[in-house]
Amino acid sequence: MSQTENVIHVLEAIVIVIGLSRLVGYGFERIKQPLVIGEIVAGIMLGPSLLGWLLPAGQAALFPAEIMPSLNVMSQIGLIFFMFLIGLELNPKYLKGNIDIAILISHVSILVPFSMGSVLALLLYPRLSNGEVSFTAFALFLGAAMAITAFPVLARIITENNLQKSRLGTLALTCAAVDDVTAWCLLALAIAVTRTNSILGAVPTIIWSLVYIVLMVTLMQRFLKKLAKYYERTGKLSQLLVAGIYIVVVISALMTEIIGIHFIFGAFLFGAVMPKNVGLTRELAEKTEDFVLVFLLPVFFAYSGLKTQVGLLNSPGKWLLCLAVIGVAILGKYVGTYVAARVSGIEHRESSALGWLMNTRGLTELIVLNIGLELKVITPLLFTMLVIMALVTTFMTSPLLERIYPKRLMRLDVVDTEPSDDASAAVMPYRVLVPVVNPKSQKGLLKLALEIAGERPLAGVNLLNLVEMQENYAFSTTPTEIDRLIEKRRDSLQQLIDSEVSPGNSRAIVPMVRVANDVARETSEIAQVERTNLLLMGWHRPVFDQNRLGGRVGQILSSAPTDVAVFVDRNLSNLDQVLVPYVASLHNDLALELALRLVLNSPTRHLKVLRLVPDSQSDCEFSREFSALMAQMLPSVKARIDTPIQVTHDPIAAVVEASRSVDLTIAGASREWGLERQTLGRYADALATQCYSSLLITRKYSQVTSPHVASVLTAPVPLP
Amino acid sequence: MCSFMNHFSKKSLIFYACAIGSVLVLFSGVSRYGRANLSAPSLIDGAYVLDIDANQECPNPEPLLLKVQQSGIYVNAALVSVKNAERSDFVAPLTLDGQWQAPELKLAGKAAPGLEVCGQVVGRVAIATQYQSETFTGELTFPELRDPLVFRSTQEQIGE
Repeated sequence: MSQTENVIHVLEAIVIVIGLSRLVGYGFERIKQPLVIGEIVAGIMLGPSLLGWLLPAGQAALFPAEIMPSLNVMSQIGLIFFMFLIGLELNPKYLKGNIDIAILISHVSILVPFSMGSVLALLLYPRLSNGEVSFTAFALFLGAAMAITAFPVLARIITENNLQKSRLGTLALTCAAVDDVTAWCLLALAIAVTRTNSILGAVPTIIWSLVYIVLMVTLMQRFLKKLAKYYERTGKLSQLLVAGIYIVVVISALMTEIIGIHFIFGAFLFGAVMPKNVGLTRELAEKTEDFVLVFLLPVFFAYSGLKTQVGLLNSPGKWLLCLAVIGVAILGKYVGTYVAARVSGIEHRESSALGWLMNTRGLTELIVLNIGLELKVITPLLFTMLVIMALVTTFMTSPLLERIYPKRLMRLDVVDTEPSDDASAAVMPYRVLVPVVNPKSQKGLLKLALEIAGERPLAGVNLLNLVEMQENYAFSTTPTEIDRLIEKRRDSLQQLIDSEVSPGNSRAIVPMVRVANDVARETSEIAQVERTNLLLMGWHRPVFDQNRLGGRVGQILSSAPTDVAVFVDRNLSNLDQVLVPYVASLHNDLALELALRLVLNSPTRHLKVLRLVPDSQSDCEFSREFSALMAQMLPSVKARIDTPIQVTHDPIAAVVEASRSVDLTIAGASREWGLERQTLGRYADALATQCYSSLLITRKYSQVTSPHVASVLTAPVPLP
Repeated sequence: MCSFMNHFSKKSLIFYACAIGSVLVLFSGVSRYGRANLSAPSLIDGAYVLDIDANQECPNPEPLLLKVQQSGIYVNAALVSVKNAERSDFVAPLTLDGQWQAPELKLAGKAAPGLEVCGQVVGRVAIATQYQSETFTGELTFPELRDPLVFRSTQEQIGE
C-alpha cells in the first residue's frame, strides 16, 4: 500500500468512525444513557465483535492492518490531550463538600474493590493470564481496574440530574475527584510493577515519579501562575501561547513515559497543575476539546473496539468468569461506598445512590484496560470481560439512580433551592409554567402568564430556563461551569421579573434554572413534578420544519402531561379585548376556559366568542362543561362576554378579520384554524402568520380536568 | 453527619492506618500465596508455520500458518495458507477454539474460508498437538481427507 493509499484508508476509516460514534452516541442519549457509552459501543460495533463477525472482508477493507499504526498514534494523541482536559477540569473547588467524609468514602471505595479484585486474581490468574506476567503485577492491575471511578461520566450524570448543588451531588463529586487521583496513582504503581515485574524493581520508578510530581506542583505551578497573570493582563490566549502549552503537555507526557509509568500521567498532571483561573482554563479547554472529543476520542474508541472480541466469550465457563468479574466490580464498589457512607452517618437512600454513582467506570476504565492490554498484563479475553464490566457498570448507573433517587426526592435534596419553590407547592392551586429561552425577548410571554394567573394569592408563575447540555464531556458541562451558567441565567431571569413586576408585588413568580439534556423531556417532567396547570410557551420557528407547531414546541406539545398554550406575540401591550373563535372541540374548550379566566381576572376585560358555522342551519353549541361554567358566572361578568354566530365557509379568513379589533386571539389547536399540529406545510400555520392580534394556541391534555376557571371560581375574590 | 470524621483527628488517622494497613497485609498475603502456589500457563501466543509431512494422499503438501491468540488456558486460532497470510487484505477470523493444558493443545473449528489442503477445499479441522521447545508437533484432522496430516511447526515464530 502506497503512502497516499494509506492516508486515503485512514481518512475513510475516520469518516465511518466519527459518523457511527455520533449516531450511536445520540441513540444512547435517547435512552437516558451518557453519550460516551454509545461511542464506546460504536467502537465495539466496528470491531470483530459485530462488523468483523458479520462481514469479515468488509471489516478488513475498512481497517486494513497497514492503517493500524496510524490509528494507534492518533488514538494515543487523543488520549494524551483528553487526559490533559481531565486534569484541567480537576478543580480544587470540588473538594469543598464534606471533605473529611468524602476522603473516607473515596478511600474505602477504592480499598474494598481493590482488595476484592486482588482476591479475584487468585481465580483468574491460572486461567486467564500467562507465565510471562507475575502474579503480583496481575493482581495489582486487576485490583486497580476494579477500583476505578470515572469522574467525567459521574460529573455528567450528576449535572444532568441537577444534583451538583445537592448534598449527594457535592459529596459524590468530591469522592470521585479524590478517587480519580488515588486510582491514577494506583494505576501508575501497577504499571511500574508490571514493567519491572516486581514491587522492588518498581521502586526507582516510584521515586522518580514522586520527584516529577513535586517538581510539577512547585516549579511548574509557580511558572503557570505567572502565565495566568499574563492572561489576565492581556485577556486573550494567543496561538503562540496555546502552542507553548501544547508543547509542554507533550513533553510532560514524554517525561512520565521515560520515567516508566505512562504518557497519560504526564498530560493529566500538567492539566491538574494548570491554574484554575476561570477565563484561562475555559478558553484553553474550549480551544482544545472540540477536536479532541469529536475527532480523536472516537478513534481511540474504535481502536479499542477493534481489540474487543465479544466472540471470545463462547462458552458458559467463560461467561461465568465474566459474571464473576462484573459481580466483584459492582459488589466491591457499591458495598465499599455504601458501608463507608453509612458509617459516616449518611442515610440509607443517599448512601445507596452514592454507591451506584461511584460504580460508574465508563471511559476511564477503558483507558486503564487499553494500557493493560498494551503492556500484556491482561489477555484479550480478560480485556473483553473488563470492557463488558465497564459498560455494564456505567449503563446501570442512571436507571438505578432514578429508581433509588426519583426526581421528586432529588429536588428535596437540593441545598440551594429556588426561593419559595417548595413553600409555593403547598399553597398554590394554580400554576403556569413558562419556559423561557431568551429572557430579553420574552417579556410579552411573562406578561401574558401573569395575566392568566391573575392577581390572586393562590396563583403563581414558574419561570423556567433550561441550560441545555449538548456536548459530550465539554468543559462547559463541568459542574463548576454549569454553576456559573446557572447563576448567570438566574440573574437574567430576575432582571426579566424586575422589569415586569413592581417591587413588593405579592405575585408568586418563581425563577427556576435547571440543567437539561433533552429540553422537551425535561420541560414535561418539570411540568409534572410541579403539578403545572398550564404550560405556556413562546413560539419560535423550527429550523428544519415549516410547521410552527413543529420542532421543540411540537415535541413538548406531544409529551407534556398538562394543558399547553403556545404564544405568538405581536407586541402585546394591552389585554382588554380577547377573541375566541369557537367550533366544538377539546382544544377550543381550553381556549374558552383560558379566555374566561382572563375575563375573571380583570373587571375591564371583554371577551368575544365567535361561533363559526358553515350555514345558518348548523349547530354550534358550547360543550356541556363550558355551559355549566358560564352558568356560575356573575351577571357583571356575563355582560362582558359576547357570543355572536357567523356563517362562513372560510373560518380562517373570518378569524383573521375578527382579530383586527382585539388584543389577543385564543384558538384551540384544531383543524378548523389550520393549527392541527399533524398537518404539515404552508397551510399549517395560516392563522399564526395572518392573525392581526397576538395569538395563543391552546392544546388540552385531558378532558377530565379543567382547573383554569374552577380555581378562580373557588379562590378568594381578587384583591382590590 | 458523624463528627468522628475529622480528617486529621486521632480517630480517623487510626482508621486510615488500620484500613490501608489491612489492605496491604491482605494484598501481600494474596500476592505471596499466588506467587508460591499458582502458575499461569506458559506463553504460546503467536503465529506458527506448520510443515506437513507428505503421505500417500498428499505427496507435496503446502505449509500452513497457525495464528494463535492466547488468553491463559483459553486459545483461539486461525488456520490459513501461508500464501494468503502474506496478503494485506486477508483477514483470518479466529474460528478455532480450544484449551491449552501444557504441553497439550487441542483446537477444533472451521479452517479459513476457501483453504485448500492437498488439493481439497477443507471446512472443519481438529488439531491435536504437543508443545515442546517452542515447537508444536501433532496432527491435523480434516473430514475431507482420509488420514490425519502430521505436522511440525518450524522454529521461526512470527510475532503478533
